[in-house]
Amino acid sequence: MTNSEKDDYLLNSLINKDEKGIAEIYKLIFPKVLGFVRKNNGELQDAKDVFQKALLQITARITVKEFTINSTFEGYLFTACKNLWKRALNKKKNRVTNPQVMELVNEEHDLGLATVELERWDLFREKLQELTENCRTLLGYAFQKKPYEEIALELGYNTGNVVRQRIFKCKKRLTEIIQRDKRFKKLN
Amino acid sequence: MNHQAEHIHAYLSGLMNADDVTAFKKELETDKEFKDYFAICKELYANFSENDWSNLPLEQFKEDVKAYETYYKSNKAKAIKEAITNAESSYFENPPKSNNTFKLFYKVIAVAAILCCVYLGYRLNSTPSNLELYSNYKDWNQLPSLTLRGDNNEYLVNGERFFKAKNYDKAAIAFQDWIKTNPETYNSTVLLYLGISHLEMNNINKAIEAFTKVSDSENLDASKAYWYLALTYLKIDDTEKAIEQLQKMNNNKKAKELLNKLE
Repeated sequence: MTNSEKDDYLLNSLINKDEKGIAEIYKLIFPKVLGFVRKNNGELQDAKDVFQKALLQITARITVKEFTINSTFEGYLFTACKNLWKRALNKKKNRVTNPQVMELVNEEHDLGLATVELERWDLFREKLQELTENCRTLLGYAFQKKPYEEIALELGYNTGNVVRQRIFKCKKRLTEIIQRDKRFKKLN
Repeated sequence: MNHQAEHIHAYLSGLMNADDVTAFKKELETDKEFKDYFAICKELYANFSENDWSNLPLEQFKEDVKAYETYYKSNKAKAIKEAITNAESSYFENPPKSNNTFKLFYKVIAVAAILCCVYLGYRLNSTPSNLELYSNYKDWNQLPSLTLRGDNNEYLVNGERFFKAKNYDKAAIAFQDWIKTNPETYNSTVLLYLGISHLEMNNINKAIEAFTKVSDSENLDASKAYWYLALTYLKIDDTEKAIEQLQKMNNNKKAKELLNKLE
């Protein structure tokens, strides 16, 4: 089986409720997600929870709107898990600081919010692909908050200032591309 | 717009001081275009930054959220969820096979290690093989240096250096070059070095040839050659010929000791 055939098999197992195939997904990808969750203050039960929700999210993405996974199945599932764990952590944090505003949100609504977030993420990633390789690299560093001087050294630019200007242009280009997309709604 | 981009970057990276933050927020209030631009940037950061753990503001996507919510409440989604739950249980009930193979692998290794120890223990108490004797008795460090005498020749310096670095191939070439360039001079030590280099590379015939040149000479070093010839024969497991060479060594202490082990 080639990699893309394998990805198709995994995705189809999920949509067609093929338990054997879904167990295969667990076997291939769950350990990595567990590792990520554990590294970020989570436990086995958290990882199980996030993994289940992420799988369900993928079926929602495909069923509710027209959508195809552009990256690998594993990459996409992992991203969905990461997003969900981010949400879970933020929720925990808010609960600790504001115990009185602890509201009863139903699970479906919460998962709906998380799925929209995933959808936005898909849009941004897709648009990022329209930039040049060089821009993508620079933006990658910028989002990791790496100092301009260090980026200059690593990529062979003369000064940090040159890097700063390049990154500005790349960001501008990306925001323009995103704004032009009809799926992007202005956040007023 | 350039300075604005800078400000947004500083703000979102948490690099802005309190006064600037106030000014920044005021600018956001008054400049609509800037506000839109900031919204995209904020989303970009939330999306791409590995360290950014904030979630996106989603209030304005109510319709989309509703669509997904409806799906999650549907029977279709519930059936999928059930399949996922079942698959999860089967995954945790039957841990991946690789774990078992790993355990088996370690068991096999452990058994092999014990067998190895038993075997080695047995071997240590039994008669060593000729090859083991060869390894125990070969000691090239005892060879005199070629480069201590005042007039250091380039070939000899290099040869000895390669020899010490166990680069026997290059060492042999250097020694041969020296012999070629000094056809009139006889140097038994160089021949011994050359022979040993060949011996290490398992060029047995060439090793014997070099050692024999020394043993056939009238030189004082001739008896040393017997020793190296004996080692050579040990290496090719020819006990008889090794003994023959050792017997020529006139009761040399080391030779006697080795002879006792061989007979």
